[in-house]
Amino acid sequence: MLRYYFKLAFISLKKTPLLSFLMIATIAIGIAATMVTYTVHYMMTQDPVPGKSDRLFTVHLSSWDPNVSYKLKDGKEDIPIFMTYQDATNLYADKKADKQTIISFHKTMMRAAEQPSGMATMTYLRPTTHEFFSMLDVPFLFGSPWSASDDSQGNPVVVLSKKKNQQLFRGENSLGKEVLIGGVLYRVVGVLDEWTPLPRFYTTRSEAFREPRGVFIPFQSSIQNNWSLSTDGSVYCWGEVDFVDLESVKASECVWLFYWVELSSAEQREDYLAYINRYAQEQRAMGRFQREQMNRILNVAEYIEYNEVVRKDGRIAIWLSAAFLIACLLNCMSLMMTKFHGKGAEVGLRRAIGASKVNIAWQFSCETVIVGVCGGVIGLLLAQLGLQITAQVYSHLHTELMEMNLELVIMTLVLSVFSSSLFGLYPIYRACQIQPSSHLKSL
Amino acid sequence: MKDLKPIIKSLIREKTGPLLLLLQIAVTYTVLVNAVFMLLQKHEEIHVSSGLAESELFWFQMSLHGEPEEMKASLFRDLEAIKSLDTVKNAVTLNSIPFSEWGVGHEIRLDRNAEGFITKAAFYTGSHDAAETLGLKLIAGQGFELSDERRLFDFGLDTPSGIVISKALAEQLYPLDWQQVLGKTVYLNEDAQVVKGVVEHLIGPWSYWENSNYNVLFSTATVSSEVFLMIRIQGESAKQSMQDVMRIVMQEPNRTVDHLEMLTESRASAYRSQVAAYSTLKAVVIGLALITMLGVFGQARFAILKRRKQIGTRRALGASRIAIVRYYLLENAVINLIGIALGMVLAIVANNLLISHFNLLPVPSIYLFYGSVIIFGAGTLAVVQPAIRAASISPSEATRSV
Amino acid sequence: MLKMSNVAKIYVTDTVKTQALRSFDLEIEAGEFVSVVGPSGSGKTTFLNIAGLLEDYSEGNYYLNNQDVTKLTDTQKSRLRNEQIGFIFQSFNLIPELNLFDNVEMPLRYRSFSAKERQRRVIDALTKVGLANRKSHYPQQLSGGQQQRVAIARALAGSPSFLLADEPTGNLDSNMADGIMSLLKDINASGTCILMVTHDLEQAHLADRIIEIKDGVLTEGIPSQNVVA
Repeated sequence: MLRYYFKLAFISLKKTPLLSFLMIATIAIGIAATMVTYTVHYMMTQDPVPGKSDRLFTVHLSSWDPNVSYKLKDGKEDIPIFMTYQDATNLYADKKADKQTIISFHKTMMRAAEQPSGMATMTYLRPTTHEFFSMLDVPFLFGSPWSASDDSQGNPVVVLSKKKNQQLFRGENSLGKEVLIGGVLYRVVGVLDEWTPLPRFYTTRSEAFREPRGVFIPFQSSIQNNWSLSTDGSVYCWGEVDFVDLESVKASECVWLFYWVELSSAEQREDYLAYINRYAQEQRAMGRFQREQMNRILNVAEYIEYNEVVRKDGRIAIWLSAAFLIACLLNCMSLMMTKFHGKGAEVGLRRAIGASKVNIAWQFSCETVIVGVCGGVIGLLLAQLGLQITAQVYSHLHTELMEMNLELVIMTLVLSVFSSSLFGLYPIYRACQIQPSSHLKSL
Repeated sequence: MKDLKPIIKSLIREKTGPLLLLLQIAVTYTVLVNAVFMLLQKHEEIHVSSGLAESELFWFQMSLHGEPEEMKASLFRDLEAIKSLDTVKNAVTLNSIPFSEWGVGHEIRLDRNAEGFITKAAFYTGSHDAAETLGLKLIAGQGFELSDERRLFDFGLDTPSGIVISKALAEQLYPLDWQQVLGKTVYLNEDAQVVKGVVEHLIGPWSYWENSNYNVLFSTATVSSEVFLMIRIQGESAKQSMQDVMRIVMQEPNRTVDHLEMLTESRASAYRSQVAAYSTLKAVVIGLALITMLGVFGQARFAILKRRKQIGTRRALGASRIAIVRYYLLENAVINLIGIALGMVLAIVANNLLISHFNLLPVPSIYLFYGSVIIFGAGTLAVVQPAIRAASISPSEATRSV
Repeated sequence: MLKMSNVAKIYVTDTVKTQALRSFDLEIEAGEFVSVVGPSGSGKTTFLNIAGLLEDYSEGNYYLNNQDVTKLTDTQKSRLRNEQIGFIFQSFNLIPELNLFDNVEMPLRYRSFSAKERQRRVIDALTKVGLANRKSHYPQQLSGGQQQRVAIARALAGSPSFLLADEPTGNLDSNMADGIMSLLKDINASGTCILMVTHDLEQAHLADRIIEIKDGVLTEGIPSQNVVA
């Protein structure tokens, strides 16, 4: 029976090609617009470390100037998302969490030792600690993270991203080879596999959707090199400090380091926060931390939310395109009304020769579903096109944001069929209500 | 206008068809008005005046090596050499570069002991002739002389040598009469400085910062291991100028250079996400207008098919082609206008939701007018072809029975 | 076969109440061929629509095959139409985008026949009207008379016990009309009851009996011989 309805639906759609085209086109355009904006938003809000994101926390301390608040957020006092050198190293030495890591920044010239000096390029580095890699589930192609003792001694060892290894060593296994970073010889101990967590939650908002930094070195090695603060990150200071002198920065109240911890379960959060607050009280007793204490720890999702990584523009765009889809669907609905109205005589005839209302409803539902499926498929193609254009327009963002996964492809089709069916309900209802006797005098 | 009554009557009788079109127009209108407003806001944001001679300026970051005094000597040696180039009008060193997303900010107070601060402002310091080189327009007071310039390893803010500020900052400090700021003492964090001049516009290093129009200029050329140089080109070829400058700079062994870009490029990359959002909004607006046209077109076309006989009868009864076209244009206008009226209500509701959820600005009422014009225009354009088609229906349709 | 007692139909619009049929009493036996005549606007079509379960009536009782129709739901009525009643219309009412086979098959599609059974019945019906060889043609490729034959085949395909024909020759020239009438006579001869509305008295005389409707009132049982053309 269903086959019969589909056959009728195809014949009917073929009979009025322009009308059918308009119906399918409006749905396709609406679906495409909605899915383009939704895809970008969906990819932006994915869980960057699945299975772990409720156990990873960043630590924010109330170490700021007793006289002035750090900043206002939504009208309320807020504390820094960065940590001072002294606090980061104190907490790191305590090792109270399962794992903890310090994340810093630096930029300098870099090349492979075997390359001529002219090949050196300005490179953005990620000084951190060895736990970084296991905390964030970073996959390795060659080698492994450096060791805890490399961290404590500040040994000149480096982990390269797959891309950086491609640039420096043409993708070969480069373990044991040497690179020159800011004039210091570093030995390669690991090369990462493809690794693009989106959003890049562990750092500042501006880096969330850009290429990750491809060179990792032990935090202590960057300190021992006595590299002063470079211009590729943020430093906020109060009190006395000489920026040019790293020793002065280390002893200052300047905040510039990210601090992340991994707990064995989300439930340990309270305990860890209590520990942080105890630490703050100890510091207060020594004369620091004189402001009202607002120390906090935020898990991955909370930090992403706090950091407004997902711009409100994106959410507005979704609302705009959803409203746009509704306009398209209303348009399609009125076209359906016209279409089914034109079929009044056929409905009357079918009713006369014994089709029930249900039979008629099925017939038109099949037609609606075909329109929905066609609209969905074409909408999907348009969305791919739209995403490619978006990827060009947003060239500074990661291209992975503009790719649909299978889930989204299915969602597109379902949304199309569902929404066109929903908006088809009323036209179908109306078609079923046609009196069998009313249209028999003319066809 | 005598058609108006039958049109309204037939619309009321038809109900659903026109109602759907009307709803569609209302929804489209709602989205359109909000989108157009956001579009123009973005446009303003992107095209904000920087006060700089952007197309004549390029900048780069370079390393200095050795002992502090060696670094200082090397910087000013290079600066002098660059200034003497034919392709360079002037060259200065600055602690930070507009649009570069790296810079220094201070809390600004008029009273040292005040608990809070009035605002935060970005801080540019460098060669004494930085303002002229950047192309800034001094509108009150005076700028810096060579004698004001100091060459230090820090900002030297503890030495009172005067500051020049942007007009926007002056207005923030003295809302009633910004000129009062001249000669007044302003505190940058703790350090007191006297305002000696005001420039018309100056944009800060961070394009996204709410205070990006609040800026302070100072005349300490700070020397550190990495310095920024800003070059104003002479003549037409920026490329030639860059090459000449690089030749001088790279004579120093161990020298590394980063960025090296025109200020126009820096501006483009600083605003690229806004530009991208701008393009997206533009696409939305165009798409909406198209969908409205498609809807009106489809609706009108099939309404006419449905009414062939009725139109034939009218023609037979003596209606001219013009009268038929006029009838459909008028019918469409009625639906459009009701749709727009409903849309206005929805648009205001939607805008209030946007304001409360996304902290957007309220839509000025003129945009309701813009939206009406776009929708009405698109709707009318779309009905022309079907209406002309209707007018060409032969009066003989009236007598054809089947 | 068909029994109406006291059936009345009143149309109510915003301002006017129209009595289309009043106090209708009628009985038709199985296998009968009955013509319905009357001036236009007298209520013939309303009567036919009620007889064919296409319209509800306002008062009275209607039994079809001894079944009280009043109590049936919309779906049950649809089913009854499908299985017991065949319709023939003045303007044929074929669906232009379906070929003859599909047109004739239409009523069978709303019953649970196998594809083979449907095929057999369609070919049977088309053979009866002499158009089996043109089953893949489309209606617009046929003459008016042929189209009406297809419509008759469609009515017959479900093997109804009762055929309703509303001016079946109204759109045809006399030659074609004669052909259609003799076809109807044949169908009636094989046992199908026919109720035909016509304004052609000559055709009306071909029936076993004639009933006349005037201003919604039935003048029943005029023997066909007594009507003078």
